[in-house]
Amino acid sequence: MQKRSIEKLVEETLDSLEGAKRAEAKPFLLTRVLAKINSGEETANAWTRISVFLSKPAVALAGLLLIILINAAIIFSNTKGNENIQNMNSSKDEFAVNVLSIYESENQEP
Amino acid sequence: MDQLEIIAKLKQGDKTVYTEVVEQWQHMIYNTALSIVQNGEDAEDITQDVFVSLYERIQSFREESALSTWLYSITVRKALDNEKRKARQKRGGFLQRIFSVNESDEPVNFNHPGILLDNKENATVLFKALKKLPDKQRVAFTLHKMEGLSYQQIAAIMDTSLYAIESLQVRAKNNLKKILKEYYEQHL
Repeated sequence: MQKRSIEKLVEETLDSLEGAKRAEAKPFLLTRVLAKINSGEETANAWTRISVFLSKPAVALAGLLLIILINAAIIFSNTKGNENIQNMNSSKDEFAVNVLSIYESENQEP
Repeated sequence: MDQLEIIAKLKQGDKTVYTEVVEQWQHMIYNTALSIVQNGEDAEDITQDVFVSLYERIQSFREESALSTWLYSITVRKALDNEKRKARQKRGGFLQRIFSVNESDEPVNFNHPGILLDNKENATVLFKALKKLPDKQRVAFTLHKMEGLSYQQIAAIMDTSLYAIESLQVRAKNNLKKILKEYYEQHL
């Protein structure tokens, strides 16, 4: 009995899309589509303008020089930084020697 | 205005004809997308994307098929892509899964606005079952039932033979029967 009712339900479910009406898109779809097209064109235009500007020989050369200068500045600052570290290390050693010597002198006292 | 004229005008960038095409086919595209993705917002996005594609790719349309067939096939492809993207996002949402409480993988109940009132409950169950079908079977079944397209038209949209569509329909129905039977055995 239940088997028959399940089969009936299955058939009814399969037929449940019969007579369905078409769902309708929200109003002003065209406005949104045109806005999407325009924004796409604007983005494309912006990128085209940027690539045209960047491909100019003067701009490309200036960019290359700028990159070289930045690299040189980084290398120069690193060398200077190493010198500072070396100075710091030597002063640290001196400080460590002094501290040890103080303890040593304190321990030597009766 | 016949189709050749419409396509020629679209290729010339005629905005008036483009507007008419959008107005004429927006509900067809939306209904198809909605029936496949079963989500109003996604269907809206897909519909907009289809018309943007029409605008951008009309020059590459070779006029071997009807314009509506071309639009249907773009819609189906975009709808399936949307589902794949969502599935990837779901798989990738590792942290989201950890912190979410009892999030089930079961599809969410979907109510198509065009279904007759008496059939609403059964249709919701059917749409849930449709989500479990392979893509081709689901698309063939949905286009036939929701858009009332003939097997011949579906074959053109899916770029396959009439025989393949007949076979897809039979397999879709048989699989749906199995899924629905299991569902009702558990829920009655």
